[in-house]
Formats: sequence, structure tokens, C-alpha cells
Amino acid sequence: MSPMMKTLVRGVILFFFGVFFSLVLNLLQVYREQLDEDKQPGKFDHYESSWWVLPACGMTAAFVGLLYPFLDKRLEEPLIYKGEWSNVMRCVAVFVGINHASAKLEFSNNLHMSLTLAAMCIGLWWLFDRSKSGFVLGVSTAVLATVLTQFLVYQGIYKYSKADLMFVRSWLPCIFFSGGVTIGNIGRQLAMYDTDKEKKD
Amino acid sequence: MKAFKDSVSQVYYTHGLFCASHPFSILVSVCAVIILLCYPLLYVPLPGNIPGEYVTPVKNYKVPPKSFTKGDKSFDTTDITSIPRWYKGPSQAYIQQLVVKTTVSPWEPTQHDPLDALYAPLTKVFKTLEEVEKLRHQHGNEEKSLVNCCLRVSEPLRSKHSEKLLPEYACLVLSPANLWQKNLNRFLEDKEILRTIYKRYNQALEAPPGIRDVLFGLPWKQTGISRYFIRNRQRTISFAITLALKSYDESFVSNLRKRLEAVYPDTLTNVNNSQIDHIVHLHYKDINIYFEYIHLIVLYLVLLMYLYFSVKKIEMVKSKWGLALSAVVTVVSSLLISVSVCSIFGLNTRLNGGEIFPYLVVLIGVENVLVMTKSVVSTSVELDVKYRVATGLSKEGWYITKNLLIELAIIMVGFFTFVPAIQEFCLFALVGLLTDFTLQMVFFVTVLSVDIRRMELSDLHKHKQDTSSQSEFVPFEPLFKCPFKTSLPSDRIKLQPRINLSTGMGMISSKGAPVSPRVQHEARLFQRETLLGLPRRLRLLYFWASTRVVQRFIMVCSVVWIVLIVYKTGLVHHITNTSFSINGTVIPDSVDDLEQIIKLQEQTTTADQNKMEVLSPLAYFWRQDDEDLGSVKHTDLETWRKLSHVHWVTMFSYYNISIVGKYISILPSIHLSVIIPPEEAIRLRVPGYKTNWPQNEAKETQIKPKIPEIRSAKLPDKKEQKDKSESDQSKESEKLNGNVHQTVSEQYKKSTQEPEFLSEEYLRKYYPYIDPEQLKQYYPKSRLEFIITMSLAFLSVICITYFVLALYRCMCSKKYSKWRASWNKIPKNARGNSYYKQIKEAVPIILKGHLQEIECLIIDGSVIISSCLGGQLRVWDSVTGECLHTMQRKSATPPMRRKPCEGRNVEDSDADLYAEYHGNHSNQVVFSVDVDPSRGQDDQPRPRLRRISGRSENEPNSSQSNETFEKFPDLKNTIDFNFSRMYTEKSSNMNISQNVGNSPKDNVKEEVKESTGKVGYDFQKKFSELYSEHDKFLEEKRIHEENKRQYLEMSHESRASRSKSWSEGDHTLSDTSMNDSTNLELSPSPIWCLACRGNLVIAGCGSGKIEFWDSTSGALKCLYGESEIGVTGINFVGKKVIVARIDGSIDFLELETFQNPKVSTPLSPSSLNRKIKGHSRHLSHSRTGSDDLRLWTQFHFMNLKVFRLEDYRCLYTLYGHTGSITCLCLDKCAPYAAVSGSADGTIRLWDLLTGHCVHKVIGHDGTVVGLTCTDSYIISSGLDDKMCVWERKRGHLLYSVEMETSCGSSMSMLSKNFLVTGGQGSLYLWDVHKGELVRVVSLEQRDRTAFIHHIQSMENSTIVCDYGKDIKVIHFPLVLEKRD
Repeated sequence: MSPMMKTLVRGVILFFFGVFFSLVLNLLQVYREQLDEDKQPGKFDHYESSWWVLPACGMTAAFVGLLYPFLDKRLEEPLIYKGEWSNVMRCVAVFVGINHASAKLEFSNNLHMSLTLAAMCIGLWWLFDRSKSGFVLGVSTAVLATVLTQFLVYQGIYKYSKADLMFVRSWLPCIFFSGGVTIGNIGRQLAMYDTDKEKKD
Repeated sequence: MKAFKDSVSQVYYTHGLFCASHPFSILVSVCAVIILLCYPLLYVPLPGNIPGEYVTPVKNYKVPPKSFTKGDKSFDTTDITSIPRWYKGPSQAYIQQLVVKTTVSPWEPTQHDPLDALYAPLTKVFKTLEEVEKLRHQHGNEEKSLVNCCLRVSEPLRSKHSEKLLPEYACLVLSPANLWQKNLNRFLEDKEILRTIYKRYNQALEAPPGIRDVLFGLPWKQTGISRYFIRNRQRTISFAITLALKSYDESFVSNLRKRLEAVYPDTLTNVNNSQIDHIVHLHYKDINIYFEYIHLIVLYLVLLMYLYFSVKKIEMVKSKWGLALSAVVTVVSSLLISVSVCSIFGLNTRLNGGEIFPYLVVLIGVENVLVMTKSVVSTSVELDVKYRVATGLSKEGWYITKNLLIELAIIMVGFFTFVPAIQEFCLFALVGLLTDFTLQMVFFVTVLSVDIRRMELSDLHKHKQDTSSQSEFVPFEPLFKCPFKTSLPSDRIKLQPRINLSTGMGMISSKGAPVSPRVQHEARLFQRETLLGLPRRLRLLYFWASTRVVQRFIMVCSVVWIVLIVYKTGLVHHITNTSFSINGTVIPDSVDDLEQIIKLQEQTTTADQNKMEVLSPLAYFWRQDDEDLGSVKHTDLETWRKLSHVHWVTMFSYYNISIVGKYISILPSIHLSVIIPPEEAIRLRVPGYKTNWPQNEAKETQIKPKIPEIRSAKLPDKKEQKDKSESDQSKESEKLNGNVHQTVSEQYKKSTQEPEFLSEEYLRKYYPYIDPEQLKQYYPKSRLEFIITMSLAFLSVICITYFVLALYRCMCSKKYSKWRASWNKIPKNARGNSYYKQIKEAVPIILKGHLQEIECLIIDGSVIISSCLGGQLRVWDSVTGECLHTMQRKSATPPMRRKPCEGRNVEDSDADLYAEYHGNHSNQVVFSVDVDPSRGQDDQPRPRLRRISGRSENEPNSSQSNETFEKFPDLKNTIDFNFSRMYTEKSSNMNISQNVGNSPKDNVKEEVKESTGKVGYDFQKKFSELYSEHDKFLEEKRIHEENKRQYLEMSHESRASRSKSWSEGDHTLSDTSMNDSTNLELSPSPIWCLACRGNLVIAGCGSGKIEFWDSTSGALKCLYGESEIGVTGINFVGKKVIVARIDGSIDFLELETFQNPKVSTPLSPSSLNRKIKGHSRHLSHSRTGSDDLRLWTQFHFMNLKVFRLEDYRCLYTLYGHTGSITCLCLDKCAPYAAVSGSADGTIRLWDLLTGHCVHKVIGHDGTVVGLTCTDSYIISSGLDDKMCVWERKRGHLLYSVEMETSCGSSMSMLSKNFLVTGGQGSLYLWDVHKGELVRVVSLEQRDRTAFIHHIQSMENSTIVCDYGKDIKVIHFPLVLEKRD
């Protein structure tokens, strides 16, 4: 397989990861919103997001996931954690946990929630990444994605039910950040698989 | 920092050492602890079943709004966030329970039937119901009744309603009365009310809530109804009437309460109904798989993947899955423990357990497990297992600690989020993390050590020597030494660089002064290195004994006992009694409180007096904790909490009403107490009911008349005494509590009349056949006393057991094994005495003939085969002492023919020398040289050296002689020529790689020696004659030539005949002839070892040749000489011959036998089957057990190798000896064990089937030189002149006996009990059972004394030993007879 093909395969895998995550997160967040709006949960028709959300998430995931190993290669920054799938799984679990917390826990106010989530995100990064490039990429992902979402919302293409904390859903940047780090981890792991193979060959 | 790290590592090292040393006890205790800690989990409800709970006060209760925003002011008093989301809108139903406790009092066993206790109370159900339904109250201007506010229900579900038990189209009011369709008459007519109650109404399972539970509305245990009323006593029957209300009407409920309390005046004294002032709202969550569980499924999937990927990394262990499982067990059990511990401390999670578990697992992680495994596995395999574990742990200790600290820090941060859910999670995580750490450290490490030990055992044979064993330097000593000895064998000790090659077969004499034989009786019970092979019972016993559990336990117990006695003498009883009198009330602080209490007590006591409670002794005894048995006091005011979680759901489901996703409110229940007078109870009896208790009544009536007399006689003074003691106690309590207490004690005095059960009358009633006085003594007066009695009884049982055990051990522990052995031995001893005398008469048969000292001696049946230093091989008959054959190893070379050989000097022909020794004195010159015996001694290393030097000068000669031989059949030339060619053959063999093209004959690898038959034998005879008669030399020479000629002719004939049967076709005629002649001229190199089987004697020569002789004919069958390396050991198993050589290689030869009827000599070409480089160093021995599975080689290094004969694979390499192995003894039959002795004085017993080291014992200060084993003993002797007898199974020393100097190197078992060792000039006969020297058999002849090097026993009764040049056969005939 040519390197190009490999990258493509990786991208596809990451795409599906992204779709999967967004589906799960969507469910979690929908749950929260329903609780807020006092609807009777339990039916699939509550899933109201636009059709393009899933592919967009997938594409973003693929992009970020490919970008991480690429940057690693460029910057030649030594990774503190040698990739292991178990580690990645841990990371994913913590990521889901952060989402879980943001969806289900009850915080006294939004600032509290944001701070807690931010702390969790930093914790996630520190536990599973600890690379500068990872942090920078995560932050930039978060900022970009938030801005983009805001833009979409203002344009009326996408909406979320309520805007809080400076018109941004308080959990949004944190989720984006942790999602970026997680997807990056997965991407690195996949890339390492490829490079290992090259070495073996 | 460095120092800190080091100390951390040291702690881990110590810990690892400890864990690996006592794996099994640790595992057992850890499992016990886990189970113990998980026990509270039984009481933790399953997550998901628990309804959500929210509590609001009864006062000012308002129905919550349908929906409220967060800014809603209606809840300004409470924190809005604490209100659960489901608490919206009106409740589905308001549950009002009326809990009624009734009892018949006073209870007269003589008059009452047991069922009276049930009948009368149950009639109260109907009465209460009536009251409830009758209740009307004015609220404002409208009259309200139950009908107005109750929840009306329609038809119940068909299936649940077969018996019309449930209300239909009416208020939902459930009570036990429904069992009788709320019809009192029906109830009164029911003769089998218990059956009615216990009937199964379409219910498959007994598990609550069934319809019975729903109707009674109480946990079944609290109802007081049991299926069988066995004893005739008072009972308290409780039931609840459950009203489901549509709306909460405060006035209705309070009216109801007042009304009922008025009806049942007993209530006031027994319960405070206004104590609970809150409504509990229960929310039943709707199960919503789609939203609730999708992310959970994802989570668990991720968790599984995580565990899988983690565990996948465990490698290099014996059982990967076992370790993975134990890792998972560690995690799971730590989770469970954290839950149960939290529940013990009252922390109920608000979070769903299923949701937080994955996060907990992820946080806890299995990284430590991986790290530890990797680190331990990567330690040097040379180390002993426990040191490996310890080293591995110490390496990673700091890392693990750091990780733990970091995780704790993260959890700490979690506490500061101030989110209650997260804080709870953190608390869980904290406990879980610490538990997990502990489990990993204790449980997993132990499992790992066990696993590694297993792996080592199985991989022993794969093991390759690790030269870097010294690089593994452990800087630590354990912090403390474990007081208990390790219970596992230390299989491996660090290799020492020193390699001891000096110990061989010979003995190094480093003797101290001989000490008179001293026998040590040592039952080293705790010195044994292993428990393997012991019966389980004994193992347990040893464990107990070794850990001294019993002693310690007894010590603790006796201390407790003493404390209890001291405690009990006065103080306790007094205190318990006073507290009893106060009836549980706490001594208040202020006077006001006291007054209140006194008032209250006055009330209760008056009530009690009214009741005149008579309780059975047991009821009285258990009253303290089972108060509901006798009293109608309500202790638990929220009994519904003990109902099943699905109780309400079930109740509503009867009407197809779902409360899932909704909530119901439970109003504080109204508690009522009813005391029924006995007359009423009797009146209510079912008219047609016959009592089940006729015999009881009969007895009672018989006894009755006597009661008044006894009462009048004894009761009064009893009571006086009692009152006296009571008043004494009350005085004491006065001192304690001041005058206020006086009233209390007075009350007590009154109430003491209550326990009349202590009176004779009462006892008579219940125990009519026992003398009441006696009974009273035994009867415990209080519960405490009962407990103390029980514990004392328990203690005394333990004590007695212990002392019996101790006695047992006193009797037999010291000389336990000996004592046990003596059971079998005693009869033999009696016989033994008689035959010892017989031994004296044993006269050794002396077999003379060898000219030099005996080198090898073996026995085959009754035939003795020996070889001397000179290389002569003789076969003797042990019975007659006749020399059957002398093998013609050299005699084929006529000395005359040798003389004219050119280009040779005396030195390079050791063949010449050899010939001289064996009577070929034809050459005078050589003869003179050879008289010197020292030359003979030097012979051994020679052949090789000489051959090498001889090669160059003989090479040209060989090519020339090849041609001449073929051209001239002249006898003389042939002989000459062949003689020289012999060297060519050898040298070319040696240098096959160098001169491949030298000669086509070089490729011949097999030298088959043809039978020389009787010719050879003739020679020998002639030569022996020559030995004495030198003057006949010339004549002999002539005869010799003739013989030679005869032989050649014969050989030609035989050659012709045999060429047909020759198996390998590429041999030409010339080859055979050449072979024949070559064999004729074989160089007689010294024999280093011998083996025999059947009639075949195999001799391994120092020159590397292996000769196969026929012991019956004394003919050489075959010769195998491919290798030049000296043969140190030969073994003959089946058709295989195993040859060990001095360079450490082992040849496996297979014998192929061809039967030629004409010649009638089996032709045995031995083909090299495989050659294995077994050892890199000097190989001193190879032996086989008779089992043809395994070959066993002993190695002059420190390990032993076990080969399998079928495929020549090395099965195991047995490590363990730290010195070179000096002797070895193999089992010939079933257990297949090997005993090896080493230069460092240790002896190890190996299990050859598994490669285990079963025992390791240390008994000698010096090298172990002799070893013998029997079924039950191992006997070893060492350079320290000690002979040790070991118990084989348990591996402990039975005797250690001082011997004469240098006795020990040779020993042999004569029958099962007797051991023969050789010494200087005499044989020593030992009784192994007793460890005593039985006999010394002196073999000295004239002035000669010689060391006995070889002792062989024959047929359990005969000893064959060498004695210098002679062989002696000593027959101990009676031993055999006595044995059988």
C-alpha cells in the first residue's frame, strides 16, 4: 500500500470514529435538553439535528486525527506516552465521561460548569497527551469549532436550544477541546501502526 | 529524593519477598478478606430498582405545580436545585398505612391454644376497618369520609383476581381482611386460617411481594405470623391496613388518627404517632433504554476494549489468561469493596452505580499490573522466584507510588469541584483506588509469583544459561526478615562463578580426627524445604505448628477470658442489672428531663402492671432485641421502608396502574397498639376448632395439683432473696445516680415481679421432668451471661483441643518419624539380632586374577564383570568364584610380530606396554620396563596424546601398507601392515575434515570387530602359562604362529560366509578383510566405564572406543570408535546405548542385532544415531533409570540434564546446586526421582517427571561423595566423614552418623534396611532404620589393606567389592531369609 492509501484508510477510520462520537454525544446532549424542556423522552424523533452534522463531525475528526501525527512528524517532538490502544481506550472513556458529566450533572451555575469541565479537559490532556502540539491543536480546534458553531447559529443554519454564558453553550469549547485531544490520540495510534509496519518492512 | 526513592524501593522489595514467600497463605487470607468486605453488598439494593426519594414536611404540604421554572417563588424556602426533576404535579397516590400491633395478654399457656395468639388479633383487622369506614368528619360544612378522598379503582387484572381478594370498583383499601372478603363471619368460620394466609394465590414464587405481602402491608417477618405455631406462647401479631388516597386531606388523616387512638387506648403508651412529620415521595424511574443506556453501552464497550488491550500486553508468563483474570478480579473486587465499604459508612450513591463504574475502572486502571508483570518478568531468570518478584517490584516501586499519589491528587481536585455528584464519585474512587492498590500489591503480586514459579518449572529445559546473572545486582536487603520460613522450595540460587571441577569419583581426603559414632536424632520438622508430597492432613498440621496460630490464639483468648472473669465478678452484673431496670432509657443530664422520664416510666409501669405480662423464659431472654414478640410497642415507625422495592409497583399493577415514571407519596403511617384480654381471645375461638396440643395439656393438668404446694414451700423465701438482692443493687445504683434514681429502682422492684418465670411453678410448667432447682442453676439469667457462657464454652473446647494436640505432639513430634518408623520396625528388630551373629560366618570369596587395581566393577545377574586399571576385562562367576572369561582385548596382537616393526620406539607403543601387563612376555625388553606399576597408572590419559604424535609419522606408512597388504597375502606382512594401519585409521578418523580426500577408506565409520571366538580364549590361556614359564617362550611362539594362521584361515572363511549377510552393501571384500585385521590389532586402551545387560558387556575406553563383548563367550561383538574422546559413562537401556564423553557430549547409539544362525553370534553394528552436545564442560557421569523414558546425565557443572530417550531431547535442566554435582542416584522404578549430591554439601531430590526439586537438604560440611536411595530413605555420605540418613518423603534428617575416615565414597544397599559402605580394608554394615553401625567386616589379608572403591550388592544378600587387585564376594545369606 502506498503511503497515500494508508493515509486515506486512516482518514476513513477517523471519519467513522468522528461520526460515532458525535452520535453518542448528541444523544447525551439531547437527553439534557429534554430534561430541561420537560419533554417525555424515549422516542427517536427527538433527534432533530440536521443531516449534515454527522458528516461534518466525521470530516473534522478525520482532519484533526490526521493533523496530529503530521504535526508530530514535523515538530519531531518526542511523545511522552508511547501509543498503546489501552491508553487510547482510557482516553476515550474519559472523554465520554466528560460528556456524561456535562450532560447529566447538575451544576449550580454555568460558570461553575465551565470551570469544572475545563479542569477535566486539562486533566484529560495531561493524562493522555502532555505534548505541546497536542495542547495547541486542541485549543485551536476548540476555538475554531466554537466560532464556527456560533457563526452557524447566528446564520440560523443550526440552533441549540438555549444560549448561556456569553451566548455560547458553556460546555461546547470543553467538549471540542477534549474531543480534539481524543481524536488526535486515536490518529496518532493509527499512524504509529503504519509507521511500525514501515519499519518492519 | 534519591534516598526516599531508595527506601520506597526497599519497602517494595521487602513486600515482594514476603508475598512470594508465602503465596498460598496470602492468597487465602486475601480472598477471605475480600469476601468479608463484600459481605455488606448483600444489603445494598441493586441499582436501578431503588425508587428516587424526596422528602417534604407534612405541615403546609402543597401539591407541587405541574411545572415550575427555576425562578419559581413557590419553593423559596428550599433550595431549588435539591428538588428532583420528577417532583412535579400531584402525586399518583397518597399511601396511608395503619400499622396495628396486637397481642393477647396476659398469656396463660395452660388455658390458651397456640392459635389464640393469631385469632384474636386478626379480628381486630375487621374492627379497625369498620372504624375507618365509619369515620365521618366535618370539614367546613361538608361531611367527609374515606369514600370521598380514597383512590377508587376499577376491576383488578383477571389473572390476579381469581380469588376475589382485591377490592373491585371501590376504594383501594388493602388489609388482611381481604383474605376473607372483609367478612368477619367468614373469618370466624375459617378453621384453617393459617392455610388461608399461606395459600399461594397464583404466585409462582414465594419471593415478596406476593398478594399476601401486599395485603398485610408489612415485611413478613414483622407480622409475627409463622406457618407453624410450635410453642404455646404469647405472640405479637402486626398487620397494616393500606389506604390509597387520591388527595392528601390533612384534616381527614388527623381525624382518622384521633379516632383510632381513641378506640385503642393502648396506643398512647406504645407509640408517638406524631414523631414522623414528613411525607416521602417515591419516584419510580421509567426504564428508557434508548437514552439511558446507549452511552452506557458505549462506555462499557470502551471499558472492555481497554481491559482487553491492557491485558493483552501481559506476556512472558505461564498462564496469560490466568493473570489477566486475576488483574480483572483485582479491579472488580476493589470496585465491589469500595461500594460495600461506602455503604457501611452510610454513603448511598446518588449516582447510578452502573454509570460510574466504568469511570472508576478507568481511573483505577490496570497499569500497575502491567508494569509489575513486565518488570518482574524482565528480571534475571537465574534468580530465585521470590527474589525475582522482589527485585521486579522494587524497580517499579517508585513509579507505582508516584502514580498512586498522582491519582490521589486528581481525586483531591475532584473534591474541590463542589459538585455533589463528583464529590461522591471521588469518595468512591478514593476507596476504590486504595483498595485496588492494596489488592494489586497483595493479591496480584502473589498470583504473579505463583505463575512465574510455574513457568520456571515448565521452562527449565528450555532455559539457556544466562551469563549475565551477576549483573542483576540488588542493592537491598529486606527491611526485616520474615519470621516464618518460606513454605516453598527455593529452586534457584544465584550461580556462583566458581566452578568446582575437582570433585570427581575419587575422594579428596580432608579428614578431621575420627570421632566416635554419634547419632543425632533430629526431627527437623520445620527445616524441610518443601511440603510437596506430604499428605494434606500433615501439611495442615505443619502449617498450624509452624505459624503457631493456635498458641497465639489461645494466648489472646485466655487474656480475654481473664478480663471477662474480672469484669464479670461484680461490676458487670450490677451494671447490666441497673441498666435493665432503667429499661433502656438513658440517664439524663438535667433534673427536668429526669422528671419527665420518671413520669413516662410510671405510665409504662402501670400499664405493665395491668398487663401482668407472663413471658416464657426464652421470650424474656430474647426480649431485648425482639421486643415485638411480647410487646406492642412500635419501634420502627417507617416499616414500609423495609418492604420490597417493587411493593407499591406490584400493588398498583394489580389494577393495571403504572406508577413508573410517576411518583407516589407515602404519608406517615398511623401506628396502633391493641392488647387483647385473654378472655376475649378464648371467646373468639372458632367453635369447631380442635387444638393440636392435647398432650401438652395433659401434662400440664397432671402437674397442676403439685404447683401450689411447691409454690407455698419455696416461693416466698425465693422472692425474699430476690427482693433483697434487688434492693442491694438499687442501693448501689443510688450511689451512682443520686437520689433521683431511687424512684427508678423502686419501679424496678415492682417490675421484678414480672419475670416470674424463674419461679418453680413456671419452670415446672415448661420443663415438667426436670428438677426445677437444678434447672435454675443452669439457666442464664441475662443475655450477657448467656453470651459469656457460650464464649467460655467455646474457649474451653479450643483449649481442650489444643491440649490434646499438644499432648499428641509431645508424644511423637520430637522423634516423630522415628517413632512412626518404629511401628513397622519393632518386629524386625527381634529377628535381626539372630542373624547378625550369622554374618560373622560369612566368608568372602576372593576372585583373583587382575594384575592391577580394579577400575570398574559391575554385576549382571550372578556374573561379575570387572576391569582393571590396565584395561583387562574379566567375567567372573560370583557363586563359584571362577573366572569365566578374560576378554582378549589386546591379545590379538602377537608380540613377535610387533618386534620387527620399523620406525617405532618403545615409548609410542603403549600397546606394547599393555601386552606386557597381560602376560605377553615374549618381548624381553619390554617386559623389564613394564614391571613398574606406576607406568600402568599413567596409562590413562595417554592414548590420545600418543595418537596425535603418532599420526604424522604413520601417515605415509599407511598408504604404502595399504597397497602391500592387498598384494601380499603373506601372514607376517599382513600383521605388520595392519598394525601400522590402525593408526592411520584412527588419525584419519580424527581429522576427517582435514584430509577428506586422503583415502576412500577414511570414510568408513564403522569398525566391526568380528568375533575371534575360541582363538582368543586360547591365547589367553597360553599367555597365562607363559607368565609363569619363561623358558617355554620359543615353543610358545611357534604355537602362537600356528594359532595365528589358524585364525586367519578361519576369518577368511567366516568373511566369505558373512559377506552375504552384510547389511551395508558398499563394503568390499577388501574392506572387510581390512576391518578384520584391524580389529585384530585393536589397541587396548584403558576401560573407564562398564555397562552390561544380558550377556552383553559394554566397555567405554579412555580412547573413546566402545567395545561390545559377549560375557558368555568372552568374544568381542562389536567395536564402535568414531570418537576419540574418553568415555566416562555408559548406559544401556533397551536397545540403546548412551555414551557420555569427557567433553560433555552424549552419544546415543542404537544396537542393531543380526542373527546369523551359522556363526551363531549376533552381529551388533552400532550406528551413531545422534550426537548431542549436552554439556559444555566436563561430564563425569551419565546414568539411566531403568525407565526407558529418560536418560539422566550428571554433569560436572552445577546442573543436571534430563533427556528423553525417544527423541533425544533434553527435557529439563535442573538447576539448583551451587557446587558441582558429585554424585547421583536414580530410582529404578516408579517415582522416578533422582538424588544428587553436590560439592557444597547439599543434596537435592528431584522429581524427574516434572523437573521439580522436591527437597533440598543440607547435611554435610563437605562434598557429598556417596548417595544411595531406597523407597523411604536417602543415604548420603560426605567428605566430612558423616553419613546422613534422610527421610525421603519429608526430606528431614533422621540420623547423622560419624564414620571412619573415608568410608563413604562407595556404598550400596543390602536389602532395604542395611547399608554397606566401604572403607579402608573393611566393609561397614549399617542399619539404616536405627542409624547404627551393625558390623564391621574386615577384609584385610595378610598385610595388605586397600580402599574399597566399588561395592555392588547382588540379590539383596551378597556384596561384591573390589579389594585392590582382587574382587571379594561376601555372602550374607541370612539377611535375605529374614527379610522374606
